[in-house]
Amino acid sequence: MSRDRSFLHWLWPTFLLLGLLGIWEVAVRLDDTPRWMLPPPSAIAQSFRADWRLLLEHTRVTLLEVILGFGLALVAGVLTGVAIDSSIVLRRAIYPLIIASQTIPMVALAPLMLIWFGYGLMPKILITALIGFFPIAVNTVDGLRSGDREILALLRSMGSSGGQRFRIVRVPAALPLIFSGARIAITFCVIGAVFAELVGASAGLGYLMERSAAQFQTARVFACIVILAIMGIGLFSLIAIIERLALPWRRFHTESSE
Amino acid sequence: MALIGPSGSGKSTLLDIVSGLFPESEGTVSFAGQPLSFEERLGGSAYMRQRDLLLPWRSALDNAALALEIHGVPRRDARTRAAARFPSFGLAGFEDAWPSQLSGGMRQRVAFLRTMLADRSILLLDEPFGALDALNRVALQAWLIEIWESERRSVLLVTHDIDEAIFLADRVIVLSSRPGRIVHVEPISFPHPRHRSLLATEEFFWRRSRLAEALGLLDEPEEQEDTHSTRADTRSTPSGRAPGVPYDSGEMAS
Repeated sequence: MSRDRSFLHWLWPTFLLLGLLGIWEVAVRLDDTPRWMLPPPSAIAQSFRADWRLLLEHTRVTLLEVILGFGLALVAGVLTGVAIDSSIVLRRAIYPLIIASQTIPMVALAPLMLIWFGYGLMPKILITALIGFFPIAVNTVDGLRSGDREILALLRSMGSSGGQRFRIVRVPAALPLIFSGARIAITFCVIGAVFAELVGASAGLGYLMERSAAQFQTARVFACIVILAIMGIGLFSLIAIIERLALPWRRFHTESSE
Repeated sequence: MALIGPSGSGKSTLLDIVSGLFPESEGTVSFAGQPLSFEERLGGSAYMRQRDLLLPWRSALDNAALALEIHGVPRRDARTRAAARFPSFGLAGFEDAWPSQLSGGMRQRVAFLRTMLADRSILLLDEPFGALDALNRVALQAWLIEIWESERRSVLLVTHDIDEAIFLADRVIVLSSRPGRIVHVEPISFPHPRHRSLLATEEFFWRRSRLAEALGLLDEPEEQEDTHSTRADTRSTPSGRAPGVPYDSGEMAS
């Protein structure tokens, strides 16, 4: 039943996408648009076939940056969230600064990272982590505060310790929000990694795009964009799957009775 | 012991104070003749509210075992002890269900099982059946008295329902609204075990009148007829609510 429905769910967007690609292909051919300006989809597919080794190599670099950067953002974001939650002083001191720091465009820090850490992996991981950090930290803080007040009072009347209430009520209540923060963060992280590569790198899809553009290998640039889109969707879905497995009780949430 | 009184008479606040959630502003709370501060009272009683307050991320079994776990019983022991009582609470087979998969009555029974398993000599029940429909309510009342008769605990029950108070309690205390003061204490001497047939006895009816009077429901017999008919009109399921004479201050005012 749900399989049928999810199939229908995918059917129309797929049709639309194929239709648009068809129009693209035909329009470019009829118009005789130069390939270096706008290659037809078939040329992009051709580029995948010809350059797969190159694309794979650079994809691996970017994916590594995204995963390491996201991992760092996740650990730092959750720890910061817990720290902010656990102390009023820290909340007053750190929270406004974190929010204010969002007005700094993180990508603008990329040139600085380049100066401090050179062309290697490190500056990319840091930029990626900086971008992913904010949604995770803020959602952790909000999540830890979202525990039901009456349930917390009930646990208090049972004579529970603050640590027990944290473990039994507040952390589980925070998890759905932490997961949604992570889902937002992972797509930001892909953008962050590519941007860091565009600023200065010797490998990665951002670097490959820039080099290919300079050589008017426009089909290859498109191939990189397609890979980045798939990477973003794939990582997002991966987190959604982990969330489903980790929070099985949420699956029945909508059919909640009374 | 049952506490009955209009909304705003401080019944729930009193339970919050007894459980130790809030300090008393004046007076003392004593247990077995021993005055206790509110910090000392925390964990000394088992508290149950109108909302079931089950944790959505714990199975029915883990929810029932919660108080035991907090009192330091190892998780496996707590689960075993909770599981042993699932059948007698009419919950057999639902050990692994999530709270969102259970009906309102079942959720309330899980909450009650959690309260009983806390194994405290004082139970604080704040309108424990208030959120349930009439049939579930009657069933759970009968069942509460049965459980009480088999393992006597001190129960402080807050209710809006005069019949529930008389049927369950050995003493009914009537509070006035703002400020909440004790205006009447009605000893209820019906012997145990009690059955629902009690509700049809003359003494029951007489006790109910006395309490209704103490609550100010019987000021003028004429008016009382009136309130009854309007209540029947406004009630969504008048026939379903037959056993109770619930009221709240909103209806009182009119």
